[in-house]
Amino acid sequence: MKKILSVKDLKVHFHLGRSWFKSARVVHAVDGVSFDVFEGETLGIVGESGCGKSSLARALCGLNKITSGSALFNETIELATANKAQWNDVHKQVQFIFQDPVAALDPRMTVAEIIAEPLITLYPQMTSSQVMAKVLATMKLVGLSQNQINRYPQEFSGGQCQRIGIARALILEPKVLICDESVSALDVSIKAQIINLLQDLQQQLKLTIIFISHDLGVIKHICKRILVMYLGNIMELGDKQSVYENALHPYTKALLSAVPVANPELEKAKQIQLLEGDLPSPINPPKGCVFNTRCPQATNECRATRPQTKMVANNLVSCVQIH
Amino acid sequence: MTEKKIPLLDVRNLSVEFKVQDGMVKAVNGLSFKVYDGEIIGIVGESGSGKSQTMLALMGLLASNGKISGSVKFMGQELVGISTSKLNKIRGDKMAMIFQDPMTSLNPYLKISSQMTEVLMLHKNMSYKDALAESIKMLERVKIPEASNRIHLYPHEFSGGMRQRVMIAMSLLTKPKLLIADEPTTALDVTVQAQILELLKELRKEFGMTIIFITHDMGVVANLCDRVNVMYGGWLMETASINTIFNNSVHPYTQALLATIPSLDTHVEKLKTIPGEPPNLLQLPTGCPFQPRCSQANHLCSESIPLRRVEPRHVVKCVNAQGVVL
Amino acid sequence: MFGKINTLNLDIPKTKGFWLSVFARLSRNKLAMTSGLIIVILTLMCIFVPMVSSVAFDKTDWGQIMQTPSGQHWFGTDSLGRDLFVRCFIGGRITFEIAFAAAFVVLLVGIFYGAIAGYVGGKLDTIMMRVVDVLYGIPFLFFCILLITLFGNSMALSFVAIAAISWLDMSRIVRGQTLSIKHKEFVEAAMISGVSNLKIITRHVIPNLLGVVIVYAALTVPNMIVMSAVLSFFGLGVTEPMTSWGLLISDGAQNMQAWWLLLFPAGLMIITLLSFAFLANGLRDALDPR
Repeated sequence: MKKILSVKDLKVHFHLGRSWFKSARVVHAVDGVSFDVFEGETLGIVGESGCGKSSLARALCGLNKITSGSALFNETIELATANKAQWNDVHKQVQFIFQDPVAALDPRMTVAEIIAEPLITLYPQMTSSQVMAKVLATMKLVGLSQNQINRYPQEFSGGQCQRIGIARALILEPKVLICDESVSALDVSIKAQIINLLQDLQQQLKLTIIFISHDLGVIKHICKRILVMYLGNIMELGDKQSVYENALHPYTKALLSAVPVANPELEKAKQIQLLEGDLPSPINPPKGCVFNTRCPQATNECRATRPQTKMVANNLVSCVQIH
Repeated sequence: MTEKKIPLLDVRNLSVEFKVQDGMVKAVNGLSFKVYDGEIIGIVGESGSGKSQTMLALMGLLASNGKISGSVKFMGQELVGISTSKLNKIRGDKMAMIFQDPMTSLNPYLKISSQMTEVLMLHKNMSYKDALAESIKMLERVKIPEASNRIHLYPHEFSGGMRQRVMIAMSLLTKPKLLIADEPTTALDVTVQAQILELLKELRKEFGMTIIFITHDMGVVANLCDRVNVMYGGWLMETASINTIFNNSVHPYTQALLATIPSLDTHVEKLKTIPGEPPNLLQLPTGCPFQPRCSQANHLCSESIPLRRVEPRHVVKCVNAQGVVL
Repeated sequence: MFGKINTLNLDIPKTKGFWLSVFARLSRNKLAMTSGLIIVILTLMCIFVPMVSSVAFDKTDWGQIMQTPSGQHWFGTDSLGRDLFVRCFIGGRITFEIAFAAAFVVLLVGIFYGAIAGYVGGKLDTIMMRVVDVLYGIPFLFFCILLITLFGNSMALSFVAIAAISWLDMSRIVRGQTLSIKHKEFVEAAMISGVSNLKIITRHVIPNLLGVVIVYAALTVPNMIVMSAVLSFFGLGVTEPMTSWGLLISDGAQNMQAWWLLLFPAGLMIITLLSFAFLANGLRDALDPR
C-alpha cells in the first residue's frame, strides 16, 4: 500500500513566555513520533488532553510549525521545509475538520461563501458558475439541501454546522481528511449521524482519514489502526483488533479499562486499573519513559532510559519491559 | 428500597419556563420522580433536554427570567416558593452541588483554605483552627496528596482533576444528604474520570450520601448509577433501574439513544442513528417532543400522554407503553 | 464579499443577515432610535439651514445688536448683530465636519493599524504598540499649540490634531479584538484553505470586529465634538468670522447677561452628545444581545 504520509521523529515544540527577564520555557507538545499513514486507511490517534494529538494533527496541515524531524506527504512534499507553493499543494489534498462546529464557521459569511472559499482561493481560475455548481454538489454530498445556501451559520444546529465544515473541506476533493475531535462536541444522536456520514464519504471518495479523539468508543468504531499517545510520545501503535484486545503497553491497558461502557453488567464486573495522579507537565516531561510517574509497573530502568519503539507481536510498543 | 419509605427527594409535576425575547421556553415540562436515601440516580439527556435546568430549579438557582411550578419536597419540606433565606439554610447544610467546571464555583482570588474554612465557620460555627483541621481531613479523604500544604494554594495551582476533588471535598464539608453533580467529569480525561467515579462510589458508601448525577454519557451511568432518568425536550421519558434501562427499556427514545452509541464492547458495521435534529425548545410539537424523530410515532403522540408504570419503579411516558396510568 | 459567486440565478431567498437582525433589534430600542433621528435631523439642519436662510451667518447688522430671541431672530443675535440661529448651524456644520472627518480617519487608521499589529503579532506587534504608547504620552493641548506655532492657525489643523491623537484608542481596541478573533477556528480554517494573510484580515477579521468598532465609533464622534469645542474655545483652529460650537459657547460665556448666546449653542451640543451616547448604548445592546 502506498504511504500517503510518512512521519519520522517529528517534534512540535512551543516557546512560552520568552522575555527579556526570563529564559524561554519549552512545551514539548510532540516529542519525536514516527509513523506511516497508508492511502485509504483510517488511522485513529487517541490520548488524553495534553498528549499532543492535536498539536500533531495541526502540524500536519500547517497550523503548527514543525520544530524538527520529517513528515513526507505523498512521497514528494516534505512538510517540515515546504514553501508557500508546496503548502498550497498540500492544502488542496489535506483538509481539516475542527472540534467546535460553530466556531469553525465565520458568522458573517453565508453557507455558500464559507464552502466556496477554499475553492476560490486555491483554484482562482474557476468561473463563478463552476464554483457554484461544485458548491451545490458538495452540499448534496454531505446532506445539506440547496435552499440553505444563503443562510448564515447561526441559523444552523451543531450537527448541520459540522456538515458545512465537512463540505468546506471536501470541496477541494482532498486525499486526506484530518478530523480533530470532530464529533466530540456533538450530541449523542447527532454524533452517530456525522460518524456515519464520514464513513460513507470515505468509501465513496476513497479518503484517507486521520481521526483524533479521546473517545475510545468512537475510535474503535471508525478506525482500522490505532495510535496511542501520551505526553508527546507514541505508546502503542497497531491494528484495532490487537490494540483493543491484546494491548501490551500498561498505559493502553489503563486507558481502555478506564472507559466506561454502556453496559451495567460489564461495568460492575470490570476491574478498573486506576492510574495515580495527573498528567505531568509537558514543559518538564519526566526523564526516561514519560509514563513512568503514573505507571503501576515502573522500575528504575523506566526512570532512567527512554524506551525505543519496537515491534512486539502485532503492535509497535515503546516500553522497556516488553520484549 | 420499598415504595413505602419516605423519599429523600420527591419531585411532582415540576415545570420550568423561561421568558425570552422570542417567546416562552419550556425547559422542563411536568417532571415527576423520587429519589430515596443512598441512591445514585443518573439524569441523562442531550442538550436542550432540560436536565441541567431541573437541577438548577431544585437548588433554587434559576435565572431571574425563569418561572417554576409544581412541587419539590426535600426531606418532607416543600422547596418551591420558600424564602431565599430558608433555601440558603437547606442548600448549605443538606444539599450541595458540583459543576462541570470547578472554577465557576471556586473564587480564583482566595486560597482553598479560606474558601473551605469559611463554609465550616458559617454553617457549623467552628473556629478557624478546627475548620482548617477538618478541611485538611476532607481533602485527604478525597485523596489529595500533601493536603496540609496544598490547602494553602490558589485554585489555579491545581490541575483539572484535582480541582474537581477540591470541589467535592468542599461540598462534603457540611455532610450533605444530597449531592447534585452536573456533568462533573465531562471536562476530565477518562483516566481521571475513572478516579473521580471511584471516589464518588466510595464516598457514597462512607457517608451514606444520595447523589443525583447529570450526564450525557451512558457509559458513566452504567458505571456509577443505580437508577436513571432519561430526559428529552424537557420531558422525563423513562425512569428505571439501570439494568432495566440498558436491557429492557420501553421508550423508543431510550432504545434509539442506546443504539447510537459506539461502544467498546460491541461491534457494528454501521451505527444506528436518530434522524433529525435535537428539539428547538421554542417550537416544541404538541404532545411528545420526540415524535418528529420517532420511528414508532402515530397520531396519538400529539395528544396528552399519561405517565405509565410498566412495573414497580419503572415509569414511561409514551403512548405505546403498556401499564398502569399514574 | 465574493463578487465572483452569484447565487441570484438560483432563486433562493437570502435570509436575514447579521446587520439586518442588528437593525431589527435596534429599532425596538425607542431611546436609541429617537437619538438616531435627532442626530440625522441635526445633521440635515447643519447642512441646509445656512443654505436656505435669508441672512448670511457673517452678516453684521448694527441695528440688531444683542437682540433677545424673537420671531425674526429665533435664537437672538450676538454683539455684532449676527443671527445666532444661522450661526449655531454653521457652527454645527463645522463641528460635525471636523468630528466626522476625524472619526473616519480614526476608524480607517485605527482598524488597519490595530488589525495588522494584532494579526501579525510578534516583533511587529511590539514595535507598533510601543509607538502607540509613545504617542499616548504627548499631551493633547501642547501638541495642538505646537502644531499651530509650526503651521499657523487653521481649521484643517484642528482636524489633523484631533485625528492624530484619537486613533490610538481605536487601534488598541481593534488589536485586542483581533487577537481573540485570530485564534478562532474559522480563521484557522481559512489558513488551511491557503487564504493569504491580507485576505484573512479583510475578509474574516475586520468584518467580525466591526460590531465593536461601530459602538466605539459612535462613542468617538461625541469625543471629537468635545475636543474640537475645547480647541475652538481656546481660539485654536476655527477663526472668525467662521464659527463652531466651541467658539459660540466661548462667546456666550463672555456675555453672561445675554443668556441666549450661551444657552442655544450649549444646548445643541448637549443634545448631540447625549444622542450619540444613547445611540452607542443601543448599538451595543443590539450587536450583543443578552
